[in-house]
Amino acid sequence: MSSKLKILAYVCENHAVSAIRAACSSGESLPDSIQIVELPCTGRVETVHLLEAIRGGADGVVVIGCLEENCYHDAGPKLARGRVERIKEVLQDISIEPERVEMINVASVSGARIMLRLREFEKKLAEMPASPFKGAIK
Amino acid sequence: MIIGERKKVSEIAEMLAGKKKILVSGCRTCVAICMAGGEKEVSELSSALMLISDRDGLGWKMEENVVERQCEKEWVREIDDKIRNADAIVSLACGLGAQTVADMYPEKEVYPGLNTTFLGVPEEQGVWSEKCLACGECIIHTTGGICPVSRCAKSMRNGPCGGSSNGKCEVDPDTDCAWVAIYDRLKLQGRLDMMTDVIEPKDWSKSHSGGRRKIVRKDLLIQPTDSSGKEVVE
Ligand code: SF4
Repeated sequence: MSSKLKILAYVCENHAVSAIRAACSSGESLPDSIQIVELPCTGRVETVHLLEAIRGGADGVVVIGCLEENCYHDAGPKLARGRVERIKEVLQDISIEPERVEMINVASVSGARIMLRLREFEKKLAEMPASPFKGAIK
Repeated sequence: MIIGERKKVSEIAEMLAGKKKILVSGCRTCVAICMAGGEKEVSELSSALMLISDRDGLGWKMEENVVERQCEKEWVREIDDKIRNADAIVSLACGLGAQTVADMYPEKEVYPGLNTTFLGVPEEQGVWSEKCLACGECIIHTTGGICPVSRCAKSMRNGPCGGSSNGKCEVDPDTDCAWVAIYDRLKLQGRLDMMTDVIEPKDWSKSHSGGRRKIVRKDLLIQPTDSSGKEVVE
C-alpha cells in the first residue's frame, strides 16, 4: 500500500535539506513515496501550493522547514506553519482529512528525526481511506 | 481601511450549487491588505472550490481575477468579458466591491466570499481592530485622538460607564476601555481639563441611523452617469 503513496514535500534548502542529506549519507533513504520540491525558504509556500498538491493527487503534503528560531529569513517557518494550519481548517471544512497536510521543523543535525517523522507521516496516510484525488497527478 | 473576514469555503460552495462557470474576483485594496480578498486568497478559494468540484463531479470551471479597486466602476469595466462569461461571480472584495459588480451587471448573480466586518487598522501582523464607525461627525479632537464612538461598546460621549474596570471594558475584558485610553492620552498631553467639558448629545441622524447616506460634490460632477439598470448620481 505505502509504495503506491505519493507525498509531496516542500523542503527548505537550508537546514531541512541538510538534515535529509545527513540522514541519507548515514545509510538511511527517503521513502519512495516522497517527492521533494526544494525552496529557498518555507515562507515561500502559499496555501494554494498545499491545496493544489492534494488536488493533483498527492496523498499528503508535508512542509519541512528549519526550527523557527533558526530561519535564515527570519519568519519563514512561522509563516509556513500558519498556512499549514489554515489549510488544515479549510480541508476540515470541506470534509477532506486535515491530517493530509503537515509541517515538520528540523535542525540540520536532526537527520534521524526527519526520517522518523516522514515514516510516521507515510504510515498515517497509508491507514487513511484513499484520497478522492488519487490518480490526478499528471 | 475596510476589514473583511473570509467566509467558510463550504458556505460559499453551497451558494454555488447548480452553477458552472464561476468567476472568483478579489480586490487589491483594503481586503488585500487585511488578507481576506487579495490575490492569494482568490487563489486559495478557487483551489479549495475546485477540490470540491473534482471530488463531487460538479464540473465547475473556475476563473480567477483581482481588480485594483472593485468599488470603482472603471476598474470593474476592465474585467467586463470575464463577468459576462460567468454564471456566478464570487466577490472577495468588501460589500462595496461586490455591490459595484452587482449594480453594474444586474443580470448577473454575485455572491459574497467574505463578510465585511468593520472599519479598522492593522495593529500587528494578523491583528486588526475597529477604530471608526463612519458616524458622519468626527469628534476625536475632543477625545485625544481616540474615537469613543467606535472604541467604546456603548459609544459613551462624556466619560466611562460604571463598568470600566482596571482599564478594561465590562463588555469584553480583553478590550481596553476607550475612556481610560482617552483619559491617559489627555493626561499625557496635559489636557485633562477637557475631561470635564460636557459634550452635547451626538446627532445620530448623520450616521447610518439617519438612513442611507450619499455625498454629492457638485464641484466634481462632470455629468450624471446613466445606463440602464445602474445607479445614477442625481
Ligand atoms: S467599560 Fe469603557 S469601553 Fe466599555 S462600555 Fe463602558 S465606557 Fe465603553
